[in-house]
Amino acid sequence: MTDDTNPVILYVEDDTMSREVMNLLLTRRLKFEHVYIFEDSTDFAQNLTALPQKPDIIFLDIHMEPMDGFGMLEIIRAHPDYAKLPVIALTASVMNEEVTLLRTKGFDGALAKPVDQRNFPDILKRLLMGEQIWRIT
Amino acid sequence: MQTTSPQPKQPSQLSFIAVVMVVLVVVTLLITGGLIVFSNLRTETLIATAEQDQQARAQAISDRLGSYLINAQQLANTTATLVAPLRDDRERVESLLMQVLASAPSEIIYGVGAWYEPNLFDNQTVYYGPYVHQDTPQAILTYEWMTPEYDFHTQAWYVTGKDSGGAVVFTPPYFDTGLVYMSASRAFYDTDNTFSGVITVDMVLPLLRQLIVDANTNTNEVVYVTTADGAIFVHPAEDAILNFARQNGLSPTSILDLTESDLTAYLGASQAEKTVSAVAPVSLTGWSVHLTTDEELLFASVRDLNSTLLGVIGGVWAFTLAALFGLNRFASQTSKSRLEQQKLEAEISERKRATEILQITNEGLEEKVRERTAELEKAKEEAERANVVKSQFLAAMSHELRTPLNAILNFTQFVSTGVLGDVNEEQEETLNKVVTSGEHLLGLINDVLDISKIEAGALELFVEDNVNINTELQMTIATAKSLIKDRPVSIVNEIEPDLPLMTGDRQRISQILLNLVSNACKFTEKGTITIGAKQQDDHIQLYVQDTGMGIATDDFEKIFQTFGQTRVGLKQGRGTGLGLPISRRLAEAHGGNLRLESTVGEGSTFWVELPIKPEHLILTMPKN
Repeated sequence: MTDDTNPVILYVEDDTMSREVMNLLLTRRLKFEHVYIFEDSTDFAQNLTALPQKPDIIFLDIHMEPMDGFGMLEIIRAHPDYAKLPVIALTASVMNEEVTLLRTKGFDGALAKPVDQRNFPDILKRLLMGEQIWRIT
Repeated sequence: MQTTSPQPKQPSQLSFIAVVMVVLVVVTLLITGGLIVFSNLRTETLIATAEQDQQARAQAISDRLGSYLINAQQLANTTATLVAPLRDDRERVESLLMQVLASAPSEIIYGVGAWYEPNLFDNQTVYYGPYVHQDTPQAILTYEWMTPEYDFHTQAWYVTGKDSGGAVVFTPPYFDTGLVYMSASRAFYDTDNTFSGVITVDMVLPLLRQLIVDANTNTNEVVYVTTADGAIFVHPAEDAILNFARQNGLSPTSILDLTESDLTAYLGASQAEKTVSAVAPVSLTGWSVHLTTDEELLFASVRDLNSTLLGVIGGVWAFTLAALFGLNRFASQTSKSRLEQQKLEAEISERKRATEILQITNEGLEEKVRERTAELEKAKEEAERANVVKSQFLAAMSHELRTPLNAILNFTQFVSTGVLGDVNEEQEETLNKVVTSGEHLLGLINDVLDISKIEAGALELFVEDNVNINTELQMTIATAKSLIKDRPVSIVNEIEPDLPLMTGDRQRISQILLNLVSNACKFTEKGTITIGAKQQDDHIQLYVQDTGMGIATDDFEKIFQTFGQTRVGLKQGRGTGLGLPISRRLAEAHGGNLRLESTVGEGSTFWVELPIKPEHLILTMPKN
């Protein structure tokens, strides 16, 4: 990690608007300088290792082509350098069954869309400290 | 690899607002579509239930009529059994008939007869009668029905009874000396199985007619009875129907001379409401009980549902239009201040670009609306097949609505919090109204999804061990404080220390508390809102007490019905009418309950009782 106030964050999201929301939130409102955003999951493994910095936390959208969030999680967990990173689902699917699936498949937390930017800074801090958070409404 | 640079070009506020406006309209369209689909599905269930209920009520009336007819049938059978072995012992037959009549209910059984074949026992002696009937207050024995002018054994009722074998047959009802009568008859046999004669039980029917007249208790509903031939036996509007028939050239002596087609002609002439009928057959006679109900009354629940949904849709559109109006004002103010700061050229090109973006986005969104509409229609067909499918569809819709709401709520807040440049106080307030409206939409989406899952029986609890109820209560108190704002209402904390950890769905328990507290905040203008919790044996009792307007006892059940707001609540135009039914079902799903005490003008207390370790709940996540 660069430092506590400037974490390295990776976000994978295929929806343009959602990307723009997180980009503004992280770079403009929270003024983070190391924010990387992938537009889809193509060549995810190569793109991940090609990043100039190793992320401190990864946010994944779930419903995505060609590989969904669960596929990307498997790649992260299979890589020795990245296996222990906190991986958080950022999804608009908030049915209980889906959240249960996220937990059993090994995500470290889930945040529902719409993202609540008022309490996001606090939640991010806690996630970076290793806490599991399931905020699904 | 695609990476976005950490410092993107500052997007124009105008294009943001344009996008927010368009997305807001799309979301509202989608919600409207969703609610219409929801209404269609619900309407079908309500109609089926109303029709089943109507059929059951018709059947109940028919059963009451039938019980009298079965009595007469049994009386005929008993008499036949007792009379047959007595053969030509005239005195004993006479005495037996007197006893049978005396034992029968006089308000409906008028006479009993044992009509022998004339030369049954002796070729020279004509044997007939006897017949006993009531001549108030006595029963009279008579043989008068065998004269040269009247030979009973050629009469239709005798021949029918003779041909019936051992079964009891009923004649059609007939009108005589101002009253309606009917006879039940059956053959009886000698010990060597030769035909001996016919037993008759004569019934006088004003009681049955009165029973039907009395069943007409509702002005929007008609109960009437027709015979096997389609003649009208009784109808509450008999006099009017008879008058109508006479004016049209018929000359009925009683209502029995008129048929259903005469009734149809009468109804066609009067300005009748649209009606729905249930028909129930009456046992033994081939009669029919008709229960005809005004559609408006029968399907009142459907109308209530639709008007409520219409209200909700209207409310959502009102929110959207208000938000659009606010955004529009904000946009024009922004451009005015820009005019002062920037050159005209730059402003024009900026606007042009915003318009272009808006147009492009608009076209894309219109296409999306068409796509989504087609998807909704397809989903509707599937949902009609099973309620569970409906729940899945709404879950998908919730996902589709949440994605644009993510953009609306967050882009608006980026502008309002000044992340994209300074805003004045009025602009900030206006944008906050957009956020509030968006959050209301989100609540509505969640509630509709919840109630649909509950109604489909698809609600699943996410059960955890070691739920700290105190944390949830403290969050609820914080929410209450923020909802009260500057009203003179104090929040009182009566939470006992050292509450035990519970097993349950943390999020759902929190949802119950937030529903109750936000209701209390909505309806309390001054005084106190008390939030409390205490342990009672193996349960935890949570309560939210307010000094609001209170709820009338008559409305207690109503507020727990889907979309069932009180009149006062509806007038205030707040909420969806879903929070309390959802909360109650969530409490029950935990093996607990939700109840209410209230006095109008003084306030209400909602009690939630939850078991600390519910036995039937299975942990969704195993303990770590």
